[in-house]
Amino acid sequence: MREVQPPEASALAPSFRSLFEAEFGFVCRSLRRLGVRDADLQDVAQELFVTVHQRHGEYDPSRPLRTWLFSFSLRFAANYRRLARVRGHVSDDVLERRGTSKNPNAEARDLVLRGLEALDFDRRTVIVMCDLEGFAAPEVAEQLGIPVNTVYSRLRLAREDFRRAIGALDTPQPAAVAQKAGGAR
Amino acid sequence: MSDFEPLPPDLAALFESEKRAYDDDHALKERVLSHVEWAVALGAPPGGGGGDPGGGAAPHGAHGGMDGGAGAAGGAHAAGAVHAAGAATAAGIGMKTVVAATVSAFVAGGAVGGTVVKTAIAPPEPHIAVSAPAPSDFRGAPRPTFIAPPPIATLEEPSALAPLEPEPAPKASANAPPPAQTGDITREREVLDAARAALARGRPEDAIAAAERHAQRWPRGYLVEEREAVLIQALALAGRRDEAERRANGFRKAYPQSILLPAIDAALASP
Repeated sequence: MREVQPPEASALAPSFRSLFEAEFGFVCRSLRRLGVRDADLQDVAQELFVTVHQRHGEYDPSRPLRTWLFSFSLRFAANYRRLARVRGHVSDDVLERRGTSKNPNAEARDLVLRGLEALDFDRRTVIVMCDLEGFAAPEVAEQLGIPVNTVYSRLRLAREDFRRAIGALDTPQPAAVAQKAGGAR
Repeated sequence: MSDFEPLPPDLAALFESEKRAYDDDHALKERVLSHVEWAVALGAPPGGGGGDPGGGAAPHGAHGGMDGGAGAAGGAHAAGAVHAAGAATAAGIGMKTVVAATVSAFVAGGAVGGTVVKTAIAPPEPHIAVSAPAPSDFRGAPRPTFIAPPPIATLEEPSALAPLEPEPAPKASANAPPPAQTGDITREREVLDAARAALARGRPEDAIAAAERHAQRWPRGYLVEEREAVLIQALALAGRRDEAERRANGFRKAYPQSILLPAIDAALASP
């Protein structure tokens, strides 16, 4: 019988652990903003990080890490949404919590997520990348494979859609919600 | 820094409140890290639900991957035994199965014979798991929990290992929260790492004992799924196949999408 090697104390490379520690929140936020429901977030995030671990050696450190990670979030979220449609899964869990939150920060987050949920996926992706994550237009263009001018026009439309969507909700308007959230911080 | 037309102040303030979401969710972070660690230890394959992310040299081009399915092919195209296919199709396993499409079952293959068992599964469908909520509950099904198994009194009393059953659904109102997991994820990991190491050294009895310690201390811990997986593998390795099979059936019911299922199936399939 051959000798069996005991497993390492941790199966994860130190460099991956550093990445995980630093970027866990970013990945979770990205997934939620791109439409992964809260109930599924843990499962999707862990599968994403398993894949990131496997592809970690392919990362080119001369490129922005978050852009690389966002490409994973984008694909996992897109596949997740497609499967959700296949299964007739409707709407988003944020709708369930309408008006029930007592936490101002949670209320603001819900409002953002509900506004995003109303957008089509392409516009949603652009507003998430540009306005919530602060990616530059060329990064967004490269990531999505579209011209820079399309990024600008898509962002303008996404903002309009977003404002229209949250305006149609039976909630306080963004300034009031943000002010409450700011006071709570 | 953004190079776009400035956001209106009200939207900027609203978005600001969302910018640090999940940074302080340490419990979620620990749970995800533990699951990732176990999945990596069990040798989850490349590809996964994300497809090719573009890497570094190639253009990122996420657009090209949006048509889906490519990641699944990447994970599953290494053909091999398909003995876990039943588990894959039984419950509409999605992404987890694909991520685990090729599993190096270090227990079944490594501890027994020193060889690595590769299990390839053709994914039954696109590879993202979506919880299936009841029609009246759009929040999705809660993560499954187990009834705490009875203590494993001694290794000479295998009947003490009762098969696991999923915890029955609460009879109270639909709004009642699911039973909470409670545990200490860091210490749980230490105990289960010991179980995993024992298993890899070909000492299933020690692995079973470590799993028992975990079960006694944290019957509803954060790592019950991992505990049960290592326990089933240890039982199989110890030759207690009936118990392993019984427990595996409970595991499949409670965790139909578990990334650890192929490793369990591989352990049960090994002679």
